[in-house]
Amino acid sequence: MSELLRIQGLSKSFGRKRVLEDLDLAVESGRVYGLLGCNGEGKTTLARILMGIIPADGGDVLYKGRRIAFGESAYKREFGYVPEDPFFYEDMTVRGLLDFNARFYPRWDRKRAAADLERFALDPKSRVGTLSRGMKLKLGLVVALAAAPEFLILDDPTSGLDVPTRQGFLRDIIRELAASGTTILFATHLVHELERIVERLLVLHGGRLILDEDFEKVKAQHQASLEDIFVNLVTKA
Amino acid sequence: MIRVDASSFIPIYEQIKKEIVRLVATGQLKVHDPLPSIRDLAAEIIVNPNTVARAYRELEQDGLLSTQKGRGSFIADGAAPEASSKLKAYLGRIMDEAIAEAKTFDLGGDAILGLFEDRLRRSADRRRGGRHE
Repeated sequence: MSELLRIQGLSKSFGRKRVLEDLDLAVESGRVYGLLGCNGEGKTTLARILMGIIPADGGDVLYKGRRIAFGESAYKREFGYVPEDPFFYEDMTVRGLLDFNARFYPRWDRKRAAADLERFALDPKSRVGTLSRGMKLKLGLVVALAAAPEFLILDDPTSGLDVPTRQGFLRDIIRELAASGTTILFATHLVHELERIVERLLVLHGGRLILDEDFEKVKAQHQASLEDIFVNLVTKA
Repeated sequence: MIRVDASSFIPIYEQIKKEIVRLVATGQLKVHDPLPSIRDLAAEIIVNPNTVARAYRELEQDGLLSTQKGRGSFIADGAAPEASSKLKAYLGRIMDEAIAEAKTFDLGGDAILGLFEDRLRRSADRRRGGRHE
């Protein structure tokens, strides 16, 4: 497996609070990385730095061996991002939003976007502002997947949603994995979601990764559920 | 048909393997029966497709499945006796654990056997009782 992304010595503070501290991570292509951390431990900060939304204070991010500079946008065409609260232009229609996004992504798959809308029962004529949070999440996923990303970042997208909606979302991620072998970084504090799809487990605590290990190995070592493993690691750290 | 418990510490691919072994050993899956595609089973039970692929691959190595390119996976010839012996080995391991535990309480062979017989009787009673409900 080849290396898709490398993070070296990444650090970020907000005021006096150090959120990320000298963080290192290597991401191999085609794998699912589960990023666990309590609320406020920097999962979203890491996702936002990778997406070029905020700059890091120090350190490097290399994508396919090339260093990414803040403000650069070309690499983002190969990234998909579904945040906890997707920001959309509320006055746009669903179709308008898709057309708007299509212009930015050279690999945009119109057929796929249309098929996904139908599968999710999203009306292209609906105004984005009228959609429920669950429907917005689905729309976020439609947009992210239509761009045929090589690297998909999911930042706690399912928190606050009901169980059937969350399971439906996971199923769609699984279909995506089976069809395209997309590399995924799935940040969450909901451990149950993760243990079904994670291959490599990352635990972010105190600004560092206190765990970066194959999930099966971690399970075999601890002989416990992911929930217990997580609580154990975080309270010991 | 196939169920997994994602929060169990038993790896999910092992659980999938055991489920298929159980279905073959109990005759619910027969020789040459097709299995769901990796993608379909993964979506159905909500697990990573790579996990299903690993279970299928290992079952193939064990001679329980045969996979033909473009046609999917099938229960292989001679899978039934192989599945029965695997299931017996699996149950044997659980019994071994119970026996080892019993020995820490200084129970002898007769006492352990008595316990097994007692549990068997109770489970048979429960089943008989169930029919009258």
